[in-house]
Amino acid sequence: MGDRGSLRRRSDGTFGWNLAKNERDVLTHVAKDFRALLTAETPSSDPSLQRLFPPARTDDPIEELEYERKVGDGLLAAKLEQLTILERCVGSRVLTEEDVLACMRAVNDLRLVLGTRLDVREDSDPSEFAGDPERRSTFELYAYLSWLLESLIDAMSGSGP
Amino acid sequence: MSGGAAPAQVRRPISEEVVEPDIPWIVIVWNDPINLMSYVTWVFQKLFGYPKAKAEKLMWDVHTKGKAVVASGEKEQCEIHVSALHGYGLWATMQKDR
Repeated sequence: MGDRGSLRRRSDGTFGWNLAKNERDVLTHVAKDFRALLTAETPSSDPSLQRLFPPARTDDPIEELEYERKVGDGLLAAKLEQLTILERCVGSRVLTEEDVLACMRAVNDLRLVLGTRLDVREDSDPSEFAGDPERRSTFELYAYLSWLLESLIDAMSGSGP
Repeated sequence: MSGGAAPAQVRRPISEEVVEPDIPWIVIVWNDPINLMSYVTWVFQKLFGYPKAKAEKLMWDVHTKGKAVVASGEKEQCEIHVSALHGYGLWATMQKDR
């Protein structure tokens, strides 16, 4: 993967995406795990999901229930839908702007789950996890997803080729 | 102000129910250690149509002060904003502005 990222806006308004095979493999794997998490667990059974479905009304528990009744299922459906789009896009070399938006949200959801599990701080670095190979490798994945998200933001913010 | 239409006569409601004054609602985004600064700025631009300078200012407020009011208005509109911010993974809440 190059320093400038793997996504480029093209003159026709679509985006060319050039992921290496190991990136496609990693993203496919992590998306599959995340789908299992979203469909099997609930925020009450897995704290990393609480970060994905935060309360809107911390000032009023009754209003919070009302809010959840209104939007709760819609938010889960949206997260599953954007994950489906990411899974499709991983194998694609040309993305629409809508595809990129969905991939950004899905990649950020993955970061939120991994970052919550690792209990990262803003200045966390790999040395923190040196003594624990499993957490170290989760942090490397988290760092890769951060880099990937930055590259998607760069490509979306750019004025064109 | 002068030259405007006379204000409509407001009658006291007949019921004893307390009528809440028309307090606007605010949407607050809270700091968290995971969301990237560039991403938060980008989401503010995308969702609210804010110019980059305003979006960056709000992002820095979130980052340095712990939270920022990013939008205000009617309750239903604020619910839509909060739900959209949650869709992007930002940590957002709403409350009455008082």
